Amino acid sequence: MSTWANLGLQDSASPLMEQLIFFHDHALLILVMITVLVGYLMFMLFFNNYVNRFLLHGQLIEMIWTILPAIILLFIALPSLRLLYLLDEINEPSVTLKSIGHQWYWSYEYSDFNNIEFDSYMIPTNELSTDGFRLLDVDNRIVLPMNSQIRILVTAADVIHSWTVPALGVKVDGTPGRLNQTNFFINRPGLFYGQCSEICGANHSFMPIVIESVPVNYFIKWISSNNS
Amino acid sequence: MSAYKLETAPFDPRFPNQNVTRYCYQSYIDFHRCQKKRGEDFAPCNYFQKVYKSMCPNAWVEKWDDQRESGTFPGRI
Repeated sequence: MSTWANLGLQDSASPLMEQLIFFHDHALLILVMITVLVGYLMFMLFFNNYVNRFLLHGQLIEMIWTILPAIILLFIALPSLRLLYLLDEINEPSVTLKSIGHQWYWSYEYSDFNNIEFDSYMIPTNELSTDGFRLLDVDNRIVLPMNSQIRILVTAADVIHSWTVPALGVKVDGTPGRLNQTNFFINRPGLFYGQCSEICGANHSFMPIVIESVPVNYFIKWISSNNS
Repeated sequence: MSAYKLETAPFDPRFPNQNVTRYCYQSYIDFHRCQKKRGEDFAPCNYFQKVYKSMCPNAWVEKWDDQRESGTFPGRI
């Protein structure tokens, strides 16, 4: 989850994010192997006193160090393209959430059933409980059903904001006058945090996003109890 | 109406990409054109209403409703 001194990506809460993590680890492994190889070669060159005075050309080795990188690039490109197309798959959402960015809070609308609207402000540090997350917790969380395809529509009311939840691999800019759509799928219950990702003024760092993922029947209960 | 089966505006192949501003606007216009042409009680028009209510931010809908009332709505209904 989101803590200080995080080195890697957050644990995934979505199958697509899981695939992104796998690809990241795969590509990073290849890069680390190349870096270690090149580092080793450079290091050994320090202690090498031999000189080949008759070196003219080395066609075999030149073939090898051209073909081998091409093959390595294939090993990176093919999973990358697979993931690219996977992210673009079309699916039928079951819930639509509208997220409108303001200076400096998010407002959310669930309009599929009754019309639920609320604002989500960051909890100021001086009002934070001792078990709260500084700069991350909000007063009203977004409640969403797990194991359901969710469509989110992001826009903004004043300047450009960006709605993101790293655990789900989602980042969508909210531009005034434009409605941006993306889909995601949460595969476990829990709390998932994100922060506004487009500079939007003085309190850009203080308008976080919190998703509370619950089983479907709890979500339906929450919707009915919020009948405004 | 709390449905035990969650349902929302379906995927529309006319708007397959990230920018669905037009999906919202088109559904709003289609609903009011449908109502104007077929009358307020024509039930199939409600499909467009369901879509625009799900897709359009409430602030946009309110603004457009006010514009329609004052006769300044820019679209053709």
